[in-house]
Amino acid sequence: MTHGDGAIDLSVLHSWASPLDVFEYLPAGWRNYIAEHMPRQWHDHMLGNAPRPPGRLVSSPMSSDLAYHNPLGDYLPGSMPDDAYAAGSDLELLRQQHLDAAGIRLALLCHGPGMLVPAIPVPRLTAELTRAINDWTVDRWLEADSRLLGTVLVPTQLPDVAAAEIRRVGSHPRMAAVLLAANPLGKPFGHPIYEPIHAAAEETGLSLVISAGGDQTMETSTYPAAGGLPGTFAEFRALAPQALMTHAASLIAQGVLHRWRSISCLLLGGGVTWMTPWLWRFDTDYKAFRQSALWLKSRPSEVFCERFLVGTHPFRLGAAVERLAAYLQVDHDLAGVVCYASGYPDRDYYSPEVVAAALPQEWESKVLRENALRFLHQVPEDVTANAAAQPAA
Amino acid sequence: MKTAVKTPLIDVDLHHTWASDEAIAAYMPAAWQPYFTGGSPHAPFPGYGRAHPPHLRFPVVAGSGLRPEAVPPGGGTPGSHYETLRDQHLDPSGVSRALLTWQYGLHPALLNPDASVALCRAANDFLIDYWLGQGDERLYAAMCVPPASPDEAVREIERIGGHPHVIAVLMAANPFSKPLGHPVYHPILAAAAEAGLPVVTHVGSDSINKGSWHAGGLPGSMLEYFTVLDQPAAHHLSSLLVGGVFDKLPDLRILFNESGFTWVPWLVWALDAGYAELRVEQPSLERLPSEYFHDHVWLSTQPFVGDGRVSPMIEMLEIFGGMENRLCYASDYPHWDSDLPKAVLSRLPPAWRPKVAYENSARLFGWTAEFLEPEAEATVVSRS
Repeated sequence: MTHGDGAIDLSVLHSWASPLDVFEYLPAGWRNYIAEHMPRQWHDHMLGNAPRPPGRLVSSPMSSDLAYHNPLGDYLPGSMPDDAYAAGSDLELLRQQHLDAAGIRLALLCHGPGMLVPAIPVPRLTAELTRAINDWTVDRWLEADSRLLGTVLVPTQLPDVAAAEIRRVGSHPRMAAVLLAANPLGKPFGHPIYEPIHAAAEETGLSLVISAGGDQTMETSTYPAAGGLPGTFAEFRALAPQALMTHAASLIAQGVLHRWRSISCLLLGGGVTWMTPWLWRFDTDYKAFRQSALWLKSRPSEVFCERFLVGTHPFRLGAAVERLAAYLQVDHDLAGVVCYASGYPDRDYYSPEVVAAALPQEWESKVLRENALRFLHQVPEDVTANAAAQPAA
Repeated sequence: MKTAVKTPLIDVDLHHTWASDEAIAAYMPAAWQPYFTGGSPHAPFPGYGRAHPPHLRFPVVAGSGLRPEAVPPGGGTPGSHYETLRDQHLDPSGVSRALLTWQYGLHPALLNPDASVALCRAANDFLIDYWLGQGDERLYAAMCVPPASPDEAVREIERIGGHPHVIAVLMAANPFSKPLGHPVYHPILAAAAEAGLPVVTHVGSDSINKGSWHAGGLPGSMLEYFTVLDQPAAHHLSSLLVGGVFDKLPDLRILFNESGFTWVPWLVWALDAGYAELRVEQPSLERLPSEYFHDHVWLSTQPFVGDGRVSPMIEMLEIFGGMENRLCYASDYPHWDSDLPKAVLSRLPPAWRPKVAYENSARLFGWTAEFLEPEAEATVVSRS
């Protein structure tokens, strides 16, 4: 037993082992469309006319190579199965390397490569693929391990369709949130164009997960960092918080969280060190520009600390890790904001034990469990009860 | 200056400009004058017409980002009249030396690149004639260069950079949407380093000409816009720290103006943490990003945000370490949110005050003999 035992992990980046796993969930017409856009042997196989070709299927309408790769390897060593499309695609490995090894009670599936599917430039294809990915997530993951919770992937460029999908699959008792990452409309996620998504989240009791990285595909008009496209992965990752700032400012200043009272938001992929100086700036600017947000009844930092959680992944601090605890305590009440997010199978994966050890000691139960439970408020008690209990001695 | 009873004060961000389209066009060849005096029926101020690139259209409180009381007595735009600037800021604030950093000249990246070249030449001639010709020894300035024409920018640095009161090169527009450390800008950085002039960046660099001034999507209000206003600066800094430009140009010094400074700790920490990756992505990189930062980069204090509660900010900067040697006082006059020296310096720990008021700026501009005690100079030498 380690003191990380019983942790709730709010970011596991799961993937399909083969795109065919997801295509099974498409209606016949769309399966034909997909097959038409695949290499010949895979086309024939998908339509039931040929045996499965050897090797990996990489080229399909759901593929997207990333603009930025960690030059040391994208994944945690040992997490990439042979012949798989991506790491995070093998439940057994997830159990061995993370869930069992770290004593994880609940883990939220937040989509690895799937995160970028809503940015595919064919609008109706994104509607079909996200629906298929959600059904695949329920069948292959949520039904297979009771520790797993899901996030609904939605076609963000079709907000009405997205809202319908939230109402359809969000009713599953272990679907806990809506994932907003890929940004094909080029608007921050508090923009009124997304009102159908906000309303559906409120109605179904789901929270919002906003993940950095959704601006890196060539189909989006938005930038993953201000000032141009980063030239290196190291910068891409270091600057990842910038898009989260833009989205969070939007959700607060556009009045989304004022109008929809039960929505809470989880920001993933930017680490936790960016918040403090940004909240100072936000509060200061609010004094000058309160005309922009007359509905705010308290300072933006107070709204943020009440309604947002921020995941620890990527927990990359290098030598500064020794100064993290002091840094996070200089202002605001971030003990209720920071929550454990492993990012498995990313190379910047950290176990709950390592994360807790770097944070203020008295934050541990909040970061590893309590804050996550607040975020998962609509998940039935029989699912979360396990996690709320103190770890057995 | 060392013997002066009053504490010296160097202001590194003071926005001056020309009074009208005609006033700046007068410094241009006749062939270019019609282009700049064609006027615009929608220009918010005289001089804001053709010599200014397309900009953002967020509604602005009171219709202007400039202090209304800074309008000169005879009319015209704030910052265009020497006596007003002197009487409102230089004298009452006790400024020993000031770096003029332009108002309209901030972004000489017009969509017409040749017009930008003409504008920069005219602006620098106007600067030397009107501002530096006032006989006020406190006034120093950053020169304009056309960033979309790096070769022309180099020529302009060679033409004007030797003037004794032109002490910096302003690079506040990003017409290529590339971070400042990108090789496209290296000729400009190299010419500045060669001439011994620091490069000054300024917030807003990316908010013109449909630039990439925000990550993640277009903000929907002035409030949101301001909360992400310093995002480009973070990327410009990261590209300078990891792109190897300080190895190529060991004399290069950079000042970030009006971009805040509280975001530096998380950014520099994250870049240091990525050093193993950077050794693969930028194999020529010789040192940790933080090491380049502490040797080559200065930031001005504006905007001095902290929502009135400064001690947590100081605590954070002390956890990071070394920022007291990087910060330079800046007023940002005559912008709406300008900071008076007392409002900044009185909130700093006493040991930081002389550093931020003048010592750090004196090192940046090579004014050590005039402003620093010999022991303080010795400290500088041992640092590198």
